[in-house]
Amino acid sequence: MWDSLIQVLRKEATILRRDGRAPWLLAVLGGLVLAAALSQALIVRSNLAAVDAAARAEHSRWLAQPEKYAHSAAHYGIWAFRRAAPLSIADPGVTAYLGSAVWMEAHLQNEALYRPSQDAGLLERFGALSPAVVVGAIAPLFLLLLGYGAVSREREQGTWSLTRIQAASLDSIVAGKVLAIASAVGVALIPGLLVVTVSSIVLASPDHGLTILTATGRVLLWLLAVAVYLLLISSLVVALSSATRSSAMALGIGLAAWTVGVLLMPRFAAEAAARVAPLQTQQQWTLALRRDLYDPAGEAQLESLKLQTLQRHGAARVEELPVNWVGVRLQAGEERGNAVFDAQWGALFEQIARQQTLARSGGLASPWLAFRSLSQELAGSSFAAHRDFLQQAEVQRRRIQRILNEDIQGKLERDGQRPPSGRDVWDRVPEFRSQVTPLAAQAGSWRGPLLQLLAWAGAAFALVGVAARRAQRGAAT
Amino acid sequence: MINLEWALFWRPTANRAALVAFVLTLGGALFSGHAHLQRQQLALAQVTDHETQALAEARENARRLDSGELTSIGTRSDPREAANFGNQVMVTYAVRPPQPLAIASVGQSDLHARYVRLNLGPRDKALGSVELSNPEATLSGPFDLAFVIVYLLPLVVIALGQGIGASERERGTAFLLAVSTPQPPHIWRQRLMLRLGAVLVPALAAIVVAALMAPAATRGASAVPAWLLFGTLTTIQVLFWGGITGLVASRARSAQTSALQLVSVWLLMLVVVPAIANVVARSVAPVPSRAEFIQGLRDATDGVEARRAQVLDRFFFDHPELAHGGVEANAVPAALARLITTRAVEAEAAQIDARYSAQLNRQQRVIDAFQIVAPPLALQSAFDRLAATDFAWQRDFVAQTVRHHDQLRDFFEPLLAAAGPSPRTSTSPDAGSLPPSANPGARAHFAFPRFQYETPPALALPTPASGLGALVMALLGGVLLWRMAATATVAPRVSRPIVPV
Repeated sequence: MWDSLIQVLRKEATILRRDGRAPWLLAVLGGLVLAAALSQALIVRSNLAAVDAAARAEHSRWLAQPEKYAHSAAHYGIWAFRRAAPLSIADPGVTAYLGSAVWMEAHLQNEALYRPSQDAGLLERFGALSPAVVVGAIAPLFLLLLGYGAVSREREQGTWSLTRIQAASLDSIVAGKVLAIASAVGVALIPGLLVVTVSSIVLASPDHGLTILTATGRVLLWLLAVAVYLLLISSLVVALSSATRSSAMALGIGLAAWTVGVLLMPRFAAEAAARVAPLQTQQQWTLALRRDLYDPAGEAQLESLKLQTLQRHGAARVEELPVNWVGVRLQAGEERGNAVFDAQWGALFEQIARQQTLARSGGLASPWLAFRSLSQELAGSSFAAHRDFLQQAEVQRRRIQRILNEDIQGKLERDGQRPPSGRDVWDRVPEFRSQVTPLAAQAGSWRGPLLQLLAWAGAAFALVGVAARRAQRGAAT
Repeated sequence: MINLEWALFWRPTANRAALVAFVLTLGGALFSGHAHLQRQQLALAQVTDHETQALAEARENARRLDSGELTSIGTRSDPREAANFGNQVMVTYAVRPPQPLAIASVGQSDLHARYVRLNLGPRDKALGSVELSNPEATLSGPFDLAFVIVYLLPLVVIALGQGIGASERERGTAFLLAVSTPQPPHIWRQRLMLRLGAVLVPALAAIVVAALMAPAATRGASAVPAWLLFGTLTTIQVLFWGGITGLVASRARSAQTSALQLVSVWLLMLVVVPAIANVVARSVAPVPSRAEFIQGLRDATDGVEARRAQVLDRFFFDHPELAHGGVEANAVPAALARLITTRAVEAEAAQIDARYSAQLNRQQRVIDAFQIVAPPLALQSAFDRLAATDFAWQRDFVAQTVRHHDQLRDFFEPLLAAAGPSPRTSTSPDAGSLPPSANPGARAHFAFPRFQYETPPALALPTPASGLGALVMALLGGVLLWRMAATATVAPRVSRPIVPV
């Protein structure tokens, strides 16, 4: 089996070498992925340097505040910056369309601002390449151009019927053809993928939850997904070549399938999902948030809390309390606001997640969509990863407010003067370092695309066998 | 002759399938573009309603407070106070209405704010806020008419035209045609023109339907030239790809070779060259991270706060008429002082932002240069410009918004100055409601200036670079089609003989 497989591989490699187009095609593909990888590596490295410098400066700025009322410090706020995941060199995913920084201040969970796409113009939509796009969207076209005649040309030349009397089994012949095409493309991709691998591992930062080991693991998983994807597309190409009457027909159908699967399906799936599960507008969402946030019932709750606090301490007026009522009230306001934010942001994220799940079901009709979704999740550049960042920033915001409000609670006002706080309080706020969420904790996000990709692979491998057998029988009759 | 060619074109299932798929895709793109537009209009209608309702509510609350029907109102919510109104109660938006061709090209409009809520506070966050969207849908890109014409139409032209000459040679019928009049290259050109017509007619029909589907408010005589230009560019696109297809298909060894070569050209034009343009533009003029901008903004805020007294002195030196209560920091109304310092911070931030604008302008110059060698880039750019959905339109909107915001603040400054100094800072959690103003002129703030969007005439036409790119496409397409007869090969370009059957 293995001997014959190697023989077939050698023969197919010779055919590819003799085909004048193959070296050119592979050189173009290799050049594209290498350029995309180098360009992305520079972008990610520059992003990490800028974000780390800004995060350090932000924390220093916080610590350098002069003595002031703690609630003024709460409004002075701190920015949390989203770090690019190192593997976003392979796949920047949706990061360009999401805010890159969140302002953490009192009373409000702010939206993330400064989307890179807002600083990009036409470039964002035209010619933006990443290694994942080259591998997932462009490489299938090259696989098709290299492999559409794998079986049909043999049939046209009359050599296919000889496979019945050859020592090599049909499975070996078909597997050899699939492997030959996939490995030719794989070899062309090696320089680019090497850049991705090395850069991702080098840029990993244990301070942010990504050790060299976990980064390596993620890169290997991503490379494995690439290998499975290339093999499944090669299998589909060989199956198509086996099932069609002529090479021309295989090429025509293959190009049509590529157009639908790569160009149309992602857009169509997104549009269909937006129709089935529409998002509310920003205006609707903001108004609902403000309505809940400034609900008059909140004042009544605060009044009730005041009475309970007075009773607990046996005081008649807030001035008689052993704690600063302003601090208690501020923290109560924060907690009430937190419940509103959890409900409103949670509902919004669920709406987006629902629409995304629907759109991702298009992966059943397009392996590119399945690969794209899985790739983003592995790279840490998906919406789920962004949501994790926002949650981490919100946890930090709430921590800051609690520290500051507790400080206010502990300092009574004298002669109507607000008690100032200083460095000892600012020091209690830890530096914000966003952490990369482990893959195991995000299984809900990548399980679906992984199953889709595996289903595609299983179907493609089965299909190529069936198609080749039918082609062999057809050639014999 | 035309009947015969039409029959030859229509008989193969593949041709029919390609054409039907193209027509369906055009229909889908129209539907999708319309849905995008409807969502935008829904959001803009909500914004307008909110503005109207909020002002009516403010007037009503002011009346009830005056009449005593309402005895207290929430923190900093008394609409009779200019400071409360300008900072908290006022609801006003800068809105960019969609232009007539927005249905045909979403462009970058889904990446930017179409409406911005303004008050007297800082504007940087409001300008950065964008309509809610599923980021994966944004990543996929819009499914609109421009996408179909730029990306898919060439593939349909290739699918229908790749075999015009090669298939005749493969079958050996080219030899038979060689003795006929007209000669094969002329027949192939007619055949190609017929097929180009079959692609162009539904594309132009879709453009007409899009024009009819455009919102009633944007329809009218003024939109006709833009639609005609859109149709002309579509015709040029058909001509360009027709020319390339004609050149390749009339010379290729076989239909397969022809298809391969044409797909390679498509890949080069639509993927490789734009990717090179992208890499070159980002390398030549990298846009700094916004993390640096935020730090610049923070530095500016801290600096202005440290120089607060100087900043206020400077302001009252320029505006002595507003120094009613003295120019000492503690004598200046808090809301006015806050507005003055916010404006000072924004003036410094504008200088930092100029660095980003300069880099984006440099990137645009690189892209402009590439538009001549990558016609699809020129076409997409021209479509976005005509549809008012490109970056330049957005920047103009932001500039108009900033100008209006400055006018709004100019309007409020005397009103804030007329109020007395506030005993509490804005961050006071327990300031409570302020007493009703005794100033009879306090309600003047209800007549605050409203934003009026002005369509920028300078952006009505595609950029010179896009125009030049389109001209190159038209000339190249025309010349290739014209010269097709001279460059075509009748004899089979294979070494083995082909015997006509």
